[in-house]
Amino acid sequence: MATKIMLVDDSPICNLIMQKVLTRLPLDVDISDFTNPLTAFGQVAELNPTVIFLDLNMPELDGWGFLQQMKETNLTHPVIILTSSTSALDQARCVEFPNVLAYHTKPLTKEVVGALLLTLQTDLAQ
Amino acid sequence: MSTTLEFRYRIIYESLSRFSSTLSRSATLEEVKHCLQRQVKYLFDYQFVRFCFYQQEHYIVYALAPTGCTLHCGEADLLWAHEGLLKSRDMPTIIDDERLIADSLRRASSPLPHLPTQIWGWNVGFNPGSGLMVSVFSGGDRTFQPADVPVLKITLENLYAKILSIRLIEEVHQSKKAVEQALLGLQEKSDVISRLVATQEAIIQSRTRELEVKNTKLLHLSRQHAHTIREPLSRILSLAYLVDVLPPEEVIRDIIPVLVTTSTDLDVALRQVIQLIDTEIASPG
Amino acid sequence: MKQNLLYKTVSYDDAQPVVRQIYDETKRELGLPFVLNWFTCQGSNPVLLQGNWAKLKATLIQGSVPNIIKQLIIYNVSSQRGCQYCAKAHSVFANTMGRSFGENFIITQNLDSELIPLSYRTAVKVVTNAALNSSAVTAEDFQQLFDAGFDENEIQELMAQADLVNMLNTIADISGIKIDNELLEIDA
Repeated sequence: MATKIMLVDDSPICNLIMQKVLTRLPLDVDISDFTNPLTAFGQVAELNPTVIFLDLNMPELDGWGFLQQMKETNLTHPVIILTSSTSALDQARCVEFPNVLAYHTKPLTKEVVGALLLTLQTDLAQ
Repeated sequence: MSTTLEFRYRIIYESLSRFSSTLSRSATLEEVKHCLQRQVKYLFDYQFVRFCFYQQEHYIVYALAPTGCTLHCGEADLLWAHEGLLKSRDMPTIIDDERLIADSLRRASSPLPHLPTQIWGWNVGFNPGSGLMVSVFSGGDRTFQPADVPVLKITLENLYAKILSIRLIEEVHQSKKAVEQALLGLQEKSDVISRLVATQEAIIQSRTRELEVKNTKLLHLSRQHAHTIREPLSRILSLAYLVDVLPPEEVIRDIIPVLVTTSTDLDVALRQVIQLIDTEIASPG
Repeated sequence: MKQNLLYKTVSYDDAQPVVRQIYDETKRELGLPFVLNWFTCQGSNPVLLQGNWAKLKATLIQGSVPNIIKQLIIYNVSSQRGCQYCAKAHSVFANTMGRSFGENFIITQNLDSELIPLSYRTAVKVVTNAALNSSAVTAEDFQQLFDAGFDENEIQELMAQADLVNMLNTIADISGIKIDNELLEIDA
């Protein structure tokens, strides 16, 4: 069964990069990408993804707002935060949301991709 | 003791006491002049008396006639002909050279009631380069007598001490004035410096406040803009990672175009940040 | 002359307070431990005593002319006029350093001595004449005083002794007072 992945990032290039990275992983993936977070949130329940890759800095609805709305509507889908923010404050705030599996900072490197794979293989397998 | 001598001592006693107490109450050279004018006639007889105080090249001359006393301060040219002679000696001298007496008297301001026949003179040096020279013009019914010498000596000692102390007080007063003047000058300069320092402090404080505000703004801006810049930058780095791992044809087809777009995005972001920083820093407050 | 009944001496103990005050002042100013008869004989009239004492004090005690010149003038006039009380009293005052001049002392003779400064001799001579014969005073008398070195103030002060001595002599003579025993003791 394919791993259903939802990409939420206002930058289409970022989504493209993630698609290239994820399709090269030794996993069977089904990717849906969204550049509008509001549209993305409307699709969460229907798509029922295995994991959501979420950017933090976005217009209209940022990553934190997205997580807050999930919490309020009892959506507990696992989320991996993927951000260019290196702020320790942002990283610490993740504990408010139990469905956040991991916090990875861009750019993507060999190491980050390795860590991503590990998260997908171990945490999602349960 | 003869009655006359008793008298004499009684008179000397009273006149000398009066002289010294009046002199000691005199605080200026002018007051000393009045004292001489009033008191010397009780001490001994004279046609005319000159008291020349000297200290280095400075001279103070009292010229005393029965009807008045004058005071002159100045240099050696105040001295009369016979006083040049006296100055070179330090012992009592009787001058009865008529021509010399006449020579000296040529400078007298008014004629004397009787022509003096003798000058009884004495240059008493009290300190190196300083002393009191006296000339008593004597003759007719006003004859200076050897018995008057002790009284004259006491008169000279008292007078010298008084003139010296007045001069010292004047000098002290003048130095005090000079010091006060200098202090006043210093005070003025110090005030100017204080004002400058105060102005500088105010400037520094205001600059410091400006800098603090700008520093805070800069910190805030740098945090804000780091993110703006970091977003496209991290994209470029991510693409660089893909350049490494993807096959060349895929890189050329899919990655290079977005790399160019992203680089442009970074350039735009940088321009925005620089422009914003310029605007923020230049704005006051 | 016997003591005149009108001029009864009023002793210090018998004097009324205002008179006592004047007595005290005479002792202080003259440096005497007793009150002179010249004052006690006026003690029954405080107003006159006050005025006469004020005149004596201003003329004889205060001022800038040496006291000995004044005492000599008063002695000289008194002795020439024959006022024994004043002659004796002022001969003692004139020579407080020693004994009085003695019965036959003639001051003008002694003052002729050149040992005594001309200013003293001139002052005593001119003012004595002015006291004994005031109508005979001329401009020449004043000129003599000027030439001796006296200024206007000093000359006024000197001439005031002439009128003072006349008052002193008159009161002493008409009251008939005798010389004070205490003064004789000082002179002894």
